[in-house]
Amino acid sequence: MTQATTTFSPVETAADGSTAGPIAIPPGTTMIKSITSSVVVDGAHSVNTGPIFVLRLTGTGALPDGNQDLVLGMVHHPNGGGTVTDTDGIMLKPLTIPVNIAVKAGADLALQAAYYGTDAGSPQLSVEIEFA
Amino acid sequence: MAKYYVTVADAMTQATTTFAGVQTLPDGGTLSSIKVPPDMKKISVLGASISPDGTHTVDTGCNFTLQLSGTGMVDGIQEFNVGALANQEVGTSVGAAVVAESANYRTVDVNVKPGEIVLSAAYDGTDPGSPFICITLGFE
Repeated sequence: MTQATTTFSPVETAADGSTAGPIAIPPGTTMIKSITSSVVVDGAHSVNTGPIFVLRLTGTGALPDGNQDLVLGMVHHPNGGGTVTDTDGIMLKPLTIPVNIAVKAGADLALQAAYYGTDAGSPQLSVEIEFA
Repeated sequence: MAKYYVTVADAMTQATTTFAGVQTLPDGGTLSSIKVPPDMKKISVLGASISPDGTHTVDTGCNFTLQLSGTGMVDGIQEFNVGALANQEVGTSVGAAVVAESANYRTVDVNVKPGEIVLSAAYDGTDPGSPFICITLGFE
């Protein structure tokens, strides 16, 4: 996520590195059953920043009830006055949100993400969508 | 299970034990109140994330409360505990630790009707440094 704060940007790179673009909603499905996500900063995490991340589901004709925005979580790198040398690591369990979001099979579902607060250093966001 | 989700957030710059609006959309727009979506009868999901976006003041600890009010509330004002933040320092600390926390999603059962819902938040204790609070409401 290289964009500025409170700005949505596409989330569209597949796990194999290819550009997946919008997701074609599978035939025969009618809803998103759950959303699972995690986020980390792949690089130097700017000290004393703590953005909160939001996922947006959108796409023309994909969502009968319109766009949906869901908060995903936060990351924070505390460092007092900002001059301390520190080395830290984390392991974050993914967040799974059970949902019941209506979709239209065959339409393209686009994922976008934004963050509130201060850029932590181009964090990486991963999202899994479960259709049913 | 909720089928319609709305998210807003804001930096909490107010004094302790003082409610202030939570009304900034993820795209930076302002949503001073949330219009209850058509045919929605209740809020069944409440998602929340709190973060000290900036220098987290040491030796502070705060609990955060979300308040829902407005013409869309059937049973009047409702308040929810949405978590806490604390930061401690002993002696001349040079430690630091990256923190990452998924949003907390909980089920709630708040009756709503056509109208507006106003989100406000407050904290107790000492100001930790204008933390961000982000709230998702799930309607059904």
